[in-house]
Amino acid sequence: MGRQRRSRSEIIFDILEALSVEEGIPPTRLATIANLPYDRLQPILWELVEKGLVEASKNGRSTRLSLTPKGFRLLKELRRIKKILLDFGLDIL
Amino acid sequence: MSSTVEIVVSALDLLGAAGFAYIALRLASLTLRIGGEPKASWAFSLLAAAQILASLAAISGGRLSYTAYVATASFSAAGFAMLTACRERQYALIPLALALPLGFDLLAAATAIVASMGFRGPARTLVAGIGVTFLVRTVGLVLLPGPTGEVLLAIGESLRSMGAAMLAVLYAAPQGR
Amino acid sequence: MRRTIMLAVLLALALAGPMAAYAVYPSEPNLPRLSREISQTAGGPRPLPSLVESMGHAASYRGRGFIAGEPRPLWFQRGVLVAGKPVIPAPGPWVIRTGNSSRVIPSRDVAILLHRSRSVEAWGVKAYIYLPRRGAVSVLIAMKLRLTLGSTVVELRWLGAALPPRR
Repeated sequence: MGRQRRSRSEIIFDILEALSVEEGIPPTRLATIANLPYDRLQPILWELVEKGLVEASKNGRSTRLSLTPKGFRLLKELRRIKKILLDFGLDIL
Repeated sequence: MSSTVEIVVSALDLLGAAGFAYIALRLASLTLRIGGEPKASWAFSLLAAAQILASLAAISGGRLSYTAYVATASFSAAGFAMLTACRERQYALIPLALALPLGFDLLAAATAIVASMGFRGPARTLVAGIGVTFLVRTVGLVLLPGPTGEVLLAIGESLRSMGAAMLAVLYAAPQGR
Repeated sequence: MRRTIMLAVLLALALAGPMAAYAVYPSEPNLPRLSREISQTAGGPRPLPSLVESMGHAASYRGRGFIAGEPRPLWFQRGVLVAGKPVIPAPGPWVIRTGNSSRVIPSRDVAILLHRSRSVEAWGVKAYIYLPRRGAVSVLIAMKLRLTLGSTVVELRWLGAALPPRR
C-alpha cells in the first residue's frame, strides 16, 4: 500500500519547508525539492505569492523564490499544528 | 461536599473547553489562510462544546442539568467520531452505530476507545481514559443502584473532567506539545 | 459531498443526545387531575391513587408518586430486573405478560388497562437513586403490577423514572 496523495495543505507545508531551507531558489528547483510536477506547483506557488507568504524576485530571466517573514510565521504555526495533529493520527489539516 | 466536587468538576470542564476551543480556533485560522478541510477544527469544536455542557450539567439542576449531562456524551461521541473520520477511516464508524441503541454513554466510550487506537503519545492514553470514564458512567448509573453507583459516578466524572482538561491544556499550550 | 454528509450526520448525532434527554425528562404528574379522571371511570375500582400512594412510600416521597396517565420511562435507562438490579438492554417501557406470552406495550395502553382493571396489585416496588446531580433524574422505580381484567390476570413490569426529591 503506497502513501496516500498529499493534501493541499501538506503540499503548502512542503513548499514552505523547502523555501525555509534554501533561500532564493528557482521554481523548478522548488518543484524538485517539494516533489511536485511544475504545472501543479505553479498555481499554488502564485497563490502563496499573492498572499504575501512567498516573495518572487526577478533576476534577469530567472525567478528566485524566498519566504517572507509572514511565510516564516505561517510555517512555524504549521509545524506546531502538525505536531498536535500527528498525535491525533491526522496529517496536516 | 458534593457541591465542592461539582464546582471543581465544572471548573476543570471549562478549562478543557477553553483548551479545545483554542485548538479549534488555531486550526480554523490555518484553514482560512491556506485552505484545506476544516474537519479537525469541527472535531475540536465539538469536544469543546461537550466540555461546556459537562460544566453546565455539573452546576445546574433539573431538566437543564439532565439535558446537558446526556449532551456531554453525544457531543464527545460526535467529536471523537469526526477525528476518526478525518483519517479516512470511516469504516471504523460502522461498529459504533451498533453502540447507539445502548445509549450515548456507551457510544461515547466506544467512539473514544476506537479513536484512541489511531492516536499516539499522551493523546492515545488520555482519550482511551476518557472512553473508560464513559463506561464508568454507564456502570455507575445503570448497573449499581444506591450510594455505590453515586460514588462511582462521581469518581468517573472527576476523572473524565481531569483527563479532558489535561488533554486540552497539553495540546493547546503555546509550544504545542 | 460525502464529507458534508458525514459532518451533517455527526452533528445530528451530537444534537440527538440533548434533544432526546430534554424530551424524556419526566414532568411532574398532576395527581388531582389524575384522581379526577379515575373517579370518572364508570363502574371500576379506583386503583391508581392507592398505587401512587404505595409508590410514594416505596420511594420515600409520599404524595409525589410518578405514575401519571402517561408514564415516561427513560428510554436509555429502562431495563429489566435481575436479582433486584436493573440490567440493560431493555425490552421496552412495559412488558405485558398473559399466560406464557409476553410483549411490549405502549405506556398509554397501560394507563387504559389500569383504568379498566377490576383490581390492581403492585409488588416488588423498588426505588433506586442514581444521578447525584442536583435536580437531574435521581430516582428510578421498578415495579411489577398484577391487573385483573375480567377473568384475565395480566402481569406488568416497569422500570421508569421518578421525580427528584425536593431539597
